[in-house]
Amino acid sequence: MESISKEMFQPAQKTTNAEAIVRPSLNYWADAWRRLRKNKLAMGGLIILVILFLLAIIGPMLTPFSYATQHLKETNLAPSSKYWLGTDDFGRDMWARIWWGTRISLFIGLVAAALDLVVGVLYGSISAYFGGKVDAFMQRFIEIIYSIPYLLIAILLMMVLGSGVTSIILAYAITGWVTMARLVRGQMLVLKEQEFVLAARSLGAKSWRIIAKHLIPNVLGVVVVQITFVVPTAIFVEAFLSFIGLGVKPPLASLGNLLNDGAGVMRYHPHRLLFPTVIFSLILLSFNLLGDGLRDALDPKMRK
Amino acid sequence: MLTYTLRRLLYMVITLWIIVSLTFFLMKLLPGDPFGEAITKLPPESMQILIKQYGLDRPVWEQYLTYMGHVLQGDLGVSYQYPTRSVVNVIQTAFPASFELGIESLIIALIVGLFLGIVAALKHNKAGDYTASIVALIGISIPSFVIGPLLSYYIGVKLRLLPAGLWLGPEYRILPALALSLGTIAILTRMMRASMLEVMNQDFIKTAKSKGLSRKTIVGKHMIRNAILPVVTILGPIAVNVLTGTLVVEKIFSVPGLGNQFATSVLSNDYTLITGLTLFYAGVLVVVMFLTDIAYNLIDPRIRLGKGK
Amino acid sequence: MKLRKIFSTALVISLIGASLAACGGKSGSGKDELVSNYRADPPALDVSIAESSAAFTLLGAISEGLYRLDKDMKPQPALAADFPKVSDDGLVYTIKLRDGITWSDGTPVTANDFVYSFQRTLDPNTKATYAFVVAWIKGGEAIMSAKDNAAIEEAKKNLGAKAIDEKTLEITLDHPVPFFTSMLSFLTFYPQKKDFVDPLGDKSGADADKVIGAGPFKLTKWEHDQTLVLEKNDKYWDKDNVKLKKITLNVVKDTGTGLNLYETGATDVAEVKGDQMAAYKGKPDLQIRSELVNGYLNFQFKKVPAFANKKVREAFSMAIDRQGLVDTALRNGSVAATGYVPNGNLDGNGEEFRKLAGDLAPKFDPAKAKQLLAEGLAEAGISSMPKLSIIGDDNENDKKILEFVVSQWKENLGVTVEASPMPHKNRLEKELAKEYQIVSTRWGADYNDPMTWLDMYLKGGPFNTQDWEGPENDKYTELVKAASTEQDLKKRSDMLVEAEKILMGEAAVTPIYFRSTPFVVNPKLKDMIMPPYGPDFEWKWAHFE
Repeated sequence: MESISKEMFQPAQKTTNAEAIVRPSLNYWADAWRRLRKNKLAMGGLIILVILFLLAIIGPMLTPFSYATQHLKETNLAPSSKYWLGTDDFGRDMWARIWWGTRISLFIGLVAAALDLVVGVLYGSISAYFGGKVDAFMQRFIEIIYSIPYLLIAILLMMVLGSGVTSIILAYAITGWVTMARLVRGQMLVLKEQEFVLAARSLGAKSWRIIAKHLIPNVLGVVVVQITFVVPTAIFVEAFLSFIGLGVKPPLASLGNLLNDGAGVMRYHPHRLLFPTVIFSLILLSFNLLGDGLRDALDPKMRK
Repeated sequence: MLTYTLRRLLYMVITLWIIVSLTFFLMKLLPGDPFGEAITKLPPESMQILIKQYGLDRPVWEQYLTYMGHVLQGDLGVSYQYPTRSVVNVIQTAFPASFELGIESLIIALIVGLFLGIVAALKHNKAGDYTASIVALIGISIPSFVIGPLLSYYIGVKLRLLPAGLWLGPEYRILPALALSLGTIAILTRMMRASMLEVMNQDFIKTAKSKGLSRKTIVGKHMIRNAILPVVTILGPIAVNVLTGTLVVEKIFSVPGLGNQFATSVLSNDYTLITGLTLFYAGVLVVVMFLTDIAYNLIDPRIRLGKGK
Repeated sequence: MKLRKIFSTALVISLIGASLAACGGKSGSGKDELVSNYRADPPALDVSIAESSAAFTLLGAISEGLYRLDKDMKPQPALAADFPKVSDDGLVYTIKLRDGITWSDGTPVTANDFVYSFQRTLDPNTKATYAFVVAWIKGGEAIMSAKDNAAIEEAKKNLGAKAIDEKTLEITLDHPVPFFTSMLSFLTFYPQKKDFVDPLGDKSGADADKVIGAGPFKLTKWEHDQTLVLEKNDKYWDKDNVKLKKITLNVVKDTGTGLNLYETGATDVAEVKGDQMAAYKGKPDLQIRSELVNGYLNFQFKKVPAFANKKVREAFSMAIDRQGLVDTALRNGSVAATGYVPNGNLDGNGEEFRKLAGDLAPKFDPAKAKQLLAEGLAEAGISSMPKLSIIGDDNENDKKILEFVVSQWKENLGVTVEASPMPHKNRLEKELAKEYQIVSTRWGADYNDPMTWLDMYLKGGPFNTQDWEGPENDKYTELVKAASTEQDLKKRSDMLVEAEKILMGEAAVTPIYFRSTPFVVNPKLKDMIMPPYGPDFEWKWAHFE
């Protein structure tokens, strides 16, 4: 047995640079961004999305033709220097129509996601924070909504409301928020037991303040990832409703009804199917790649 | 377990009740009466008889109670489009084709999807992974109403390999089942990949490796077996996927199924048929979800739901 | 590999299947089986209830009337031995039945089967859409408006249709109907077999075994929403002239798939549209069925006061390039409307109405339209058009029509109109309730006479939804009413032509196109008639070369 001698307890040498920062201090988001940048697929998706967003905004302005003006002598033309992506069966410029369609589809996707966000996050937070009977009741309600096939309800709702952008968004949003609410609740149940919440509470913070200032910021990661999946789903729902004949009102275009029209004439005018399909697929693909990347980047288990 | 099952059963009933009510009242909100063309030519006397027969002259709550009563007895009313056929009869006639198509597409999807998922996981972050992931993503990026006509034209007309449409012999099943399976393949690939990756990092795999088991045994007996388990949970979403897919694919390939019926009845405002089909679809889905839940609980000993928090 | 095995097996199966299909398809001469696409599963195949062209098509093949229309739309004796004997006042028709006519089960067809059929159609409990044409028979209205079952039975006894004996039918009309012989070839006047129909109750015509007729074919298989099979009826009186042994109808709703099936030889007949039709232009396969259907617009006079002004209506009509519409938006063989009564419709005196009345539609002239609009608005004392919307059906073609006219008005008149497509039923209801500003609608002939068109706009009539009133309408109403009782067919025809001239001259309705439907048909298939109204196809004489 070795005896413990006083020599073993020397005061530590005071190093001058103990407080120096070896790695740049990164907050949660900066760290996630750093890791996301390394993911080539996700970055590719992000870049494509930025380009598509820009084109959806400025695309229609680059051509002198409006998406609605008909040129009856110039129908179904193949792409040319005059009509960059050709024309449709009314001689309308496909370039203008496709970017308008992208705009409408993205708008539907984003607004649906925003509704999803507000309702889902609030519902999930309230349910998780208050717990007990409130939670039990709210969860039962969610379970029921969750098992309602949303697409069928969407179709019924569209028939009642009539076709149009608003109806499509509403039809999606009415049941779409459930997944978000479930995710947020799950996260919050863990978070609310943590010390910083206890600290806030003991300092006298009110419930809404704790939810808004402490809990919600901490679930944003999950929420952001979920949103990258909600947007493409909503866009897909729009396309599907277009196929059933419940899409946006003419002469407005959405990617859904461009695709549907294009599929009908693909044998004769392949350009009318090809271009909308490429844009549509790129949007969906990019959102999914970005979503996958974000999930990896924000997942603490993946941190190195 | 029993209390859990009973509780789930109760929710299932409540869900179905809500769906029945929801569809009923949404249909009531719809503009227009369901008789359509007939109102232009039918004499008022016949019109009165029709209205009485369908109970449209009574207050809404009374109609609702009657409707609920009928639904409980399995009577979903008579199609407005086909006045001689009951909704139940339409469902009975159309369901087999949809069911068969759904099962066939599911089989294709399981084989291809699981395979791709396993390959992607085993070749994690290598070319194989990217290829499988991209294939999966394309499956969810192109709508079936684009894939369907492409398959019908190129494989049916250009190559003459398979029938371009209709629902006659076994060879008529292949194209629609393929078109319908693409979305499901995508879901399954991603799920399987994630699940495999999770399992691969577990300790028991390391143990197996250190025991010197062959790679084949490890992958086959340990990884895949354990990874497939969570896939059961997404049976619900898959069922939804297949179901909405049938709406599109059946119309394109002229399959005489429920989806085709549903699309037609939406276009012709056949309220009773839409309501009936929605209920049927919802019922199938709710039951599938219920069974998935129960099955998952039975299979996986790690999950013990219903025993408090 | 499991996967590869499955795919290769599938491939082999499919190759065998494809080669078999190819053999069965266009096997050339001697073929006596027709395979055709059909766009919808027919509703009840019941002579009284039938209202859709699907039901008319099938029942036209399964059953038989006193007369059958030939390829020139002329009635030829069928169950009747000869043309009817008509009394001098044009009210009483006496018809002798042919000898040896039977139902497909071998039991004889008698005059009583006709009386029963008429009574059943008129009975309000049957809810027959076309009861109103049978009500031209004396006492018919009384049955239709009878209040209870006892009254209905009483009224039936007084119906002006009597079986003098087994073989003689006497029909007494309420008022003279100059085209009544031709009307007797209309499905609703076909006989029905009482002891077959009565026990079926509500299920009459629901399945293959619940329908019977005395026609050239019998329905042997009906898999709902999938396949209908008609086979030659060996008990048919004219079976020697029926060449087809079997007709298989496959329900195909998507024209793209339909055409794919045609091109792979899986069907002999497919409906096409737009580019599909254009691709077949000049080929022998393409056949266009021109229908007695008119697509037109109505402007509501009261909802939009400006539309009460004739010049404003003319401006809106003149601003539409009708030729452009049929060439770009429709592309289905439809032609630009030249009046209200469509091409091919007879005048009730054996001539084509359109040829007598001439081209009455305003010529497309944007400049003049603009000028008329300005003048009209000034006359009406209105400074500018209010916010306008047009309602129409939400199917593919009708949506295109909306898109087209809206764009034309924007471009040629500078007027913004919002397109509002909606389900057919909603549109119809709004139209009849006069809840619209502009409506894009359609009318198909119920029978081949101008009256089916021109009695729509009588003062206060249910189809005068635009509220056309005033002295010109009074004159029109008077003319049409007088024509309906006029015995002299030439004079009647003149009066109706005059009436249409008033209708068009006032721009009270705005016809835009006469509808057609294009089909691709196996060029070897001959003498399949595509009648302009009623059934889609008449197969009795069809045969392969």
